[in-house]
Amino acid sequence: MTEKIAKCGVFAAIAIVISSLERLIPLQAVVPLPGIKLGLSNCVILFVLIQFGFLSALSVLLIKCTVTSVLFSGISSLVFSLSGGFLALCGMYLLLQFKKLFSVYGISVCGAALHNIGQVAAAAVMLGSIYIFEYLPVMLFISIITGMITGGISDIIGRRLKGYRG
Amino acid sequence: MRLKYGDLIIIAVILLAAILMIIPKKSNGEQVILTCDGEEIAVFDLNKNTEYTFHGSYENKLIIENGYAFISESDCPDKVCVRSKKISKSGETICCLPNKMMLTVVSIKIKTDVISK
Repeated sequence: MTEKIAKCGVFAAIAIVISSLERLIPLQAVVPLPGIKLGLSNCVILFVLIQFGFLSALSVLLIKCTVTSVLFSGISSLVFSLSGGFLALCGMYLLLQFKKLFSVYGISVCGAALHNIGQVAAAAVMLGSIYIFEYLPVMLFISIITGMITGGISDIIGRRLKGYRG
Repeated sequence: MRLKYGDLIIIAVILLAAILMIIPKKSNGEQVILTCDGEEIAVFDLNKNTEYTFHGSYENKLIIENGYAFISESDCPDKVCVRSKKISKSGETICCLPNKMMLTVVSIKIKTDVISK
């Protein structure tokens, strides 16, 4: 148990570092939409989810979202990243129950799409308007691409760490 | 790449959902509504060239020119609103999340109390 807590701490730290490095990639300059990013730290969350289970992944997600929003983007963005991240985590957990049907690519794409849906829904509540769902189709297209990228990375990580058991 | 059937289904479903949401044809808008935190602040005519500065937590400078509305300047931290495309069709939006400001184009302004009567 203690070992698991320590390992989750390490993975939370990795997730924080990755998402802060990710901020250096100017994706918003190419696609000017609020909240567009690669979501590389989702690889970490997915890995923890596969290795340690739902609760550990949830705790890593909570730590990562809180720390990154305090450090970089302000508390208001915490609502967006948490609602998106939580929805994505639930969806990925559900898909993981059917390992025969879905590979890590599908799970990752689904996570990315749900992350965007959660974010847009949170923004709609915050702004008190449904018009913001206008952004959703574009964000879904992009989430397929970013989901495949993070899925590919997760696939590589999974193969390299095949013998690893948390 | 070792894709499984389920992956293709997920991608297909997401694509289909996105396409279905785009399909409804957009009509040209008539007015721009500026809201902050869900509250309506001002309504502008799209066919009249105007400039307006919205003072919230930050300042957004709105410009309406030749039937298009856009944010020309803002002192918000992320500047997403300034980089957003010009809007002219009904349903299109520009929003500035740090300022909780949102611009929405509407075709004809429908008052909600007509429906609830």
